[in-house]
Amino acid sequence: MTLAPLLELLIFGILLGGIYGLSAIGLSLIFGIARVLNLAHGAFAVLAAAVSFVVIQATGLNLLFVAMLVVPLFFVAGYVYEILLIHRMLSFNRERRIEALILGTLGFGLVTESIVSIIIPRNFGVNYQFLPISFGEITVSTLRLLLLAVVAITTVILHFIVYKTWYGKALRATIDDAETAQLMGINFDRITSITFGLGTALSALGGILLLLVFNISPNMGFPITLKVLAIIILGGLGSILGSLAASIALGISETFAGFFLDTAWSNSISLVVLLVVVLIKSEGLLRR
Amino acid sequence: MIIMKTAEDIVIAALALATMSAVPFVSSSYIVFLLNGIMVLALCSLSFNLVYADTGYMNLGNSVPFGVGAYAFAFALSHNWSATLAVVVSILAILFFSALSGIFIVRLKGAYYAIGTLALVLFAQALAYNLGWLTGGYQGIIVNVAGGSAYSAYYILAFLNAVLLLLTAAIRKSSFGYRMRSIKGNEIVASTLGINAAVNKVIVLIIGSLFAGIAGILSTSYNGFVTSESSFGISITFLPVIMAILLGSFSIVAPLIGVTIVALASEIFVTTIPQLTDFMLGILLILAALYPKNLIVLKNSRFLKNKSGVRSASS
Repeated sequence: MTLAPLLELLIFGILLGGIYGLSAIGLSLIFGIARVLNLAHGAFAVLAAAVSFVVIQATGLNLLFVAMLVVPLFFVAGYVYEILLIHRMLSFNRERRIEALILGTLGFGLVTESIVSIIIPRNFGVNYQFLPISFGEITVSTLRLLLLAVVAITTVILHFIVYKTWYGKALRATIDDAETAQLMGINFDRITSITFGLGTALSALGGILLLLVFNISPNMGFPITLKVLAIIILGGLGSILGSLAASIALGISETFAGFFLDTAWSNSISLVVLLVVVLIKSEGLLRR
Repeated sequence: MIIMKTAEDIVIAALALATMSAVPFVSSSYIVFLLNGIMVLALCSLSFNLVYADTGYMNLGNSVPFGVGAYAFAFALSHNWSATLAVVVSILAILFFSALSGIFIVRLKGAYYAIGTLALVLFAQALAYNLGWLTGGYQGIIVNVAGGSAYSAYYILAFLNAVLLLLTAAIRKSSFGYRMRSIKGNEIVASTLGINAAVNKVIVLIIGSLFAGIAGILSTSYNGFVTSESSFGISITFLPVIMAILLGSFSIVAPLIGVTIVALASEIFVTTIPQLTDFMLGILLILAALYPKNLIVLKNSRFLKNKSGVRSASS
């Protein structure tokens, strides 16, 4: 076998990892600020993909344009989700809060996925014809390069938001020490809601981009959540670069597992990664 | 006895027992099937409750031993092993896998315990799909069941539910129960007092898994088939949890009543609007999160009280 197909796989793995990475940064911010493991995170991705799919089918608009409409919509959705559901559970006492958050976010994810499967009761995806470019022996579709660019630009924008804006400063302060941040005049509830909006918007963007990579099935949400969890535990809480590195590693190993073993196994790879990572590092995530 | 204190309780229990044993003689086989389904869920719910109520650990992976039992029994029967051998092999498989997963899972704390156990379910589901030679892949395994096996499963299930109820009550009063509640209260303090938290957690997990696994064996025995969906699907994974929590997991009889109500409702859903089953399960999970022990106002009735007299930390 020549090297070319392996390199093409590698590029695909990096792309897949980059998309997971966007979603992972979203969940990482949410967990960082409110200590909520949002198990409905992947369901938002599937819902966003389904909404975009329906809009594209109905109007024939360009996917990037649709994404620009849908992603802000999911910012609002995440914001409202926090205010209506999460906020109530955060006010419970500690012992009840953990179990309530697990069951509540899990249930919300299930409801969301079942709504998607009622609207679109099959796998769905969007295909665009782009001319592939060749670099020597390697052939890459322009579409994938474009997606990589979207992932890169989003990461840069996020980095800017988190490190250069007032909101980012408040966010990092709250992640560091919520009580002191509140004493300094930061509105914890408001920052939490905004972060849920931001995280959900990132998850939605990931879902929309996945639509271009492979077919999405309505019950894919929870598996995506588990992958993303594995990534943030591996990459370290609140670290954008760490999350990206871990997600690219996961994307590459998943792609190669699908190629060398069987596509049916590629999801199990990420589950094994999750179990191993949780076993080794579960203390590490809780300790800051 | 702990859960039957007064003469009244004994009369009620005897009446329940008489009704339960009479049902198969007077009703159709559909009713027996329905009751079997309910009692399978009840057994899983009690098994979840055994671990959860005393140690505070939420084991969302109870459908793994359930599926291991169901698949092992079906595999043995489809290879023409004798029924006794099939049962023995299945129970050994359940014990082996629950001990194996227990050794790993026991290291996880809090939310990670729930997520780790849930990831195990997805992993088991993937194995069931991919290991076609062992599990029959997507089609699952179909076995020939002897006529009347639904009736024998009915009595065995009723018996096991009673056994697990009494066992839960007995454990709650035993030093083992106190050790587990001390783990729930504060694991670190419990360890400094000489309680081996890990060993206790694995033991209670294995006891719970054993009952869930036997429920799996029985479900194969009267259904005559096993698939990935029937053993690791959303219903069997979450319904028992929902029932135990919605009705207050700190009482002993509550899950049984909860199981009956929720299982009947879900049976009606599955047969009339199957597309909405997941939707309903999701709504129930959210309700369980927001209003544990409050949904049905039976909680103050005398049958639901924790009669062992032990208050749990959060109730």
